[in-house]
Amino acid sequence: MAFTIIRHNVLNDQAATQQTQVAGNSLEIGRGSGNALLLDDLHISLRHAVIEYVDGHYVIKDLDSRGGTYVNHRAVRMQPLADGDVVHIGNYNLRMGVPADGASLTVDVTREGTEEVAEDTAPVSYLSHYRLADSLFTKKRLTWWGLGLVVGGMIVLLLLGDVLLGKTVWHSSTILAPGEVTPAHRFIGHNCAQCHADAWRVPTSTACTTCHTGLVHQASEAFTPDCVTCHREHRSDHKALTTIGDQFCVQCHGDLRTHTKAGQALQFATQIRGFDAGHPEFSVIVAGQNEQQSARVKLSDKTALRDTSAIKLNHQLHLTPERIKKVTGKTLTCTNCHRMDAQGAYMLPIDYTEHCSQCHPLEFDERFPGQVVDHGTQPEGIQEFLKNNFFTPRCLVQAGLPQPPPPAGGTEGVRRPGQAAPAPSQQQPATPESVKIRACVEEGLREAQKRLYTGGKQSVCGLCHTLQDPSPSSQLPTVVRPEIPVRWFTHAKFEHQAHTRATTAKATAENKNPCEGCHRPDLPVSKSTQTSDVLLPGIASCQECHSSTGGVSFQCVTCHQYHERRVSRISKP
Amino acid sequence: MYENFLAYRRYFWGKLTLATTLVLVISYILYSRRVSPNGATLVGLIYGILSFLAILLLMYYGMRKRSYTAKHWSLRAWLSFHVYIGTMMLILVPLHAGFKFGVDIHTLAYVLLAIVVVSGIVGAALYLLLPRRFETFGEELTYPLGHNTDDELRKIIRQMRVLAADKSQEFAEACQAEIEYGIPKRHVGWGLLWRKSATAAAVATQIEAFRGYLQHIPETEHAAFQSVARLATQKRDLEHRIVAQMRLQNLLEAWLYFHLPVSIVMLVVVIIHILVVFYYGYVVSS
Repeated sequence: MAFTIIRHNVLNDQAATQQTQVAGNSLEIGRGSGNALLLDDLHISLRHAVIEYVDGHYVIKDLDSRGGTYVNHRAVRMQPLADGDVVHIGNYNLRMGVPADGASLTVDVTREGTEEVAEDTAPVSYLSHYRLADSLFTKKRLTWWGLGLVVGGMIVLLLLGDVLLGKTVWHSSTILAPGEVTPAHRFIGHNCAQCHADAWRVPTSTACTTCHTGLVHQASEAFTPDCVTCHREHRSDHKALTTIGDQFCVQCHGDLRTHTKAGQALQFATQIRGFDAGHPEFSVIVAGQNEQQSARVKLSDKTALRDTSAIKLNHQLHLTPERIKKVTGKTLTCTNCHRMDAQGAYMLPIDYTEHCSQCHPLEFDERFPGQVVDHGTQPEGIQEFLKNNFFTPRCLVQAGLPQPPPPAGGTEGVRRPGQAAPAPSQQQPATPESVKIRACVEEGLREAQKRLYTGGKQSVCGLCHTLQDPSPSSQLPTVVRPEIPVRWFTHAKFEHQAHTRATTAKATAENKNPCEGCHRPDLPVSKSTQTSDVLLPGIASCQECHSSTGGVSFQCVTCHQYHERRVSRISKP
Repeated sequence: MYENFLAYRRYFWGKLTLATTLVLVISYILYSRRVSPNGATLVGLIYGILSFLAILLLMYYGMRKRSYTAKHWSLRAWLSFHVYIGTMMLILVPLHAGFKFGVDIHTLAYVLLAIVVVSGIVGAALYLLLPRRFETFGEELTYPLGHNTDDELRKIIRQMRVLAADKSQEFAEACQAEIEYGIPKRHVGWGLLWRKSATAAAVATQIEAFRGYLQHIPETEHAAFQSVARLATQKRDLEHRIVAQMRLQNLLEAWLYFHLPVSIVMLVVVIIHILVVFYYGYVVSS
């Protein structure tokens, strides 16, 4: 009998198989050099085991080895070998090839373990256990894992995020969008399709106008930009949707040349970048005789800047304490006449009855102090009123005749503007009494006319109003109706209330009237004597605070409004 | 005199980076008063473009490092640029974003960038500090590991095996124990970073171990075992040096295993970020 031993070696990086024949009836296995099958492993005994050919069978016997002998992972003392059995000794595996015809036994020797797969393999590097480059975590692998984690994770989150975690907790838009929806839109929740009708795309204005009906720029707008052009959702700065950066406004409104009519000299700013960069000086409409003569005048154009409202008022006179006290016994401040509206935004119009009548009663006759005519009625109406309601009854009483009943619906001494004049008294024949009475009435009317209208500023009406000379058909002058502007700047919004604190502080520091903090730096109200003075502050006054150095907001939308607010409505679904 | 990469050309890149950062921060302060700062504003966009160009140049260093034929700029100039400009990115990117962060891919790009920069700073610091520690520890730790360290170890092991051949089982097992001693079964490179050297303990266990072997080995083999003990001492000494040396070497290299992979992931995320913001910010909305 014989044994064939097959060993696997690596020589010069080439796998090589070596076969040796061992004659005899037994094959001794062990670490000792005397063994026919020498296994170089110090765990193996010098004489470890032996394979013998007994009665036509190959049998393996363990020679009381320390490490033991295993056949197919089972420890054995003595065991007949079958074809395909694997014997384990130390680190070695011996695969048995048992021939059917009792020919030589084939022993295929391999060595276990990662270090040396084959016996006497190529030199092992012990340092590789220490080198980072030889670990599982190479830079290349880490890169691929990282890319897989981030990109793959993102794809998974984008595609399955809604399903896996539920829309209430997580939403796929979160990873791509720089921020959440603004609080006003939270009610929409993660129902993206509410606005993003076309998935992955920015919503069209239709998404907004479903709720925000009627929002328009202005009737004459050249084109209608999409809502999202200016109102950006999912903002990273968590600001309201109405916080619009100047860059959106100046895209179209940075160059105002388009407002210049053909053939007209260029008078509009062409490079507006913000309130403190290129914004033109404020302008007001100065009314002329007709619409053609009306013009926009910049507040800086002091020669053309005139208030043409046809009312006479001397601010200085009213605000000089000594003078006003001498007449009325008290002093006046701006707020005695200029009152803010309920919103604290604009000043309410000046009202004669409320603001002027106390000091300027419309007394028409020195003989009758306290008796006044109605404000707001033209001289002809006043004449009628005085004749019918005052002088005629008075002259009748003087003549000892009964006083006629007061005209229906009228209150004594007062007639509402527009109210029909009382019907003329019945024509009576001219008697000595009636002639006397008529003379009495006409004298009274003459006196009243003289006091009310004659002598320019000395007259009661002429003090404040411009009186047009009487027409040839009438003996009475006409009062020119004053057009006092309620709002000078119609394109910008303003709140007086919001400014009072700052201006009061400023004026107090400069020992001025609180309103004079703004109105107006080069011509304080208390120095203004002319009605034509426009006492509005210019842009420089606003820029003291509303600028990059002033610390107060100075966005376009701080003062300007894009949408026509009066038509805006919000209907939440 | 040796000039380190930070001091290259009298801190040229350091000064330039400081000046650039100052200019960027001042311009940011000025512009943030005018508009709510973010990446979509003109200035924010400029910061973004600058950041992206800087990232490309910073990553080009990795390629330049491996190119030995490139002529323009020395490698030290590139490294000096890389370190200073890389550190500046920690500030430049928040300026671009207007210091607004969230839980999204945009912030992820910055987080990854921060990991890259911080790991780079750690790497640069170790690079500058560790060689001094080499000097402090003395020759023991600076004994260079030659290319034949593996051969040296293999040779000792082979000799021990030869000595054990035909010896008693006790002798063989003592040899095997010494051969296996200290040789890690699996990769320990990362574990080394946290391990402390323990020379005294190592020597004590060695004496203890040899004494234990001698009790079991037949007296006839005691003389032969002295040779094994000598080889084992050599082997333990060599292994001790390997561990100490590899530990320092790994400390110098470990940061790069974060720096490089994360930088590539970051570049990909930055590109996704750019595609997303341009798609939603400009393409879709215009």
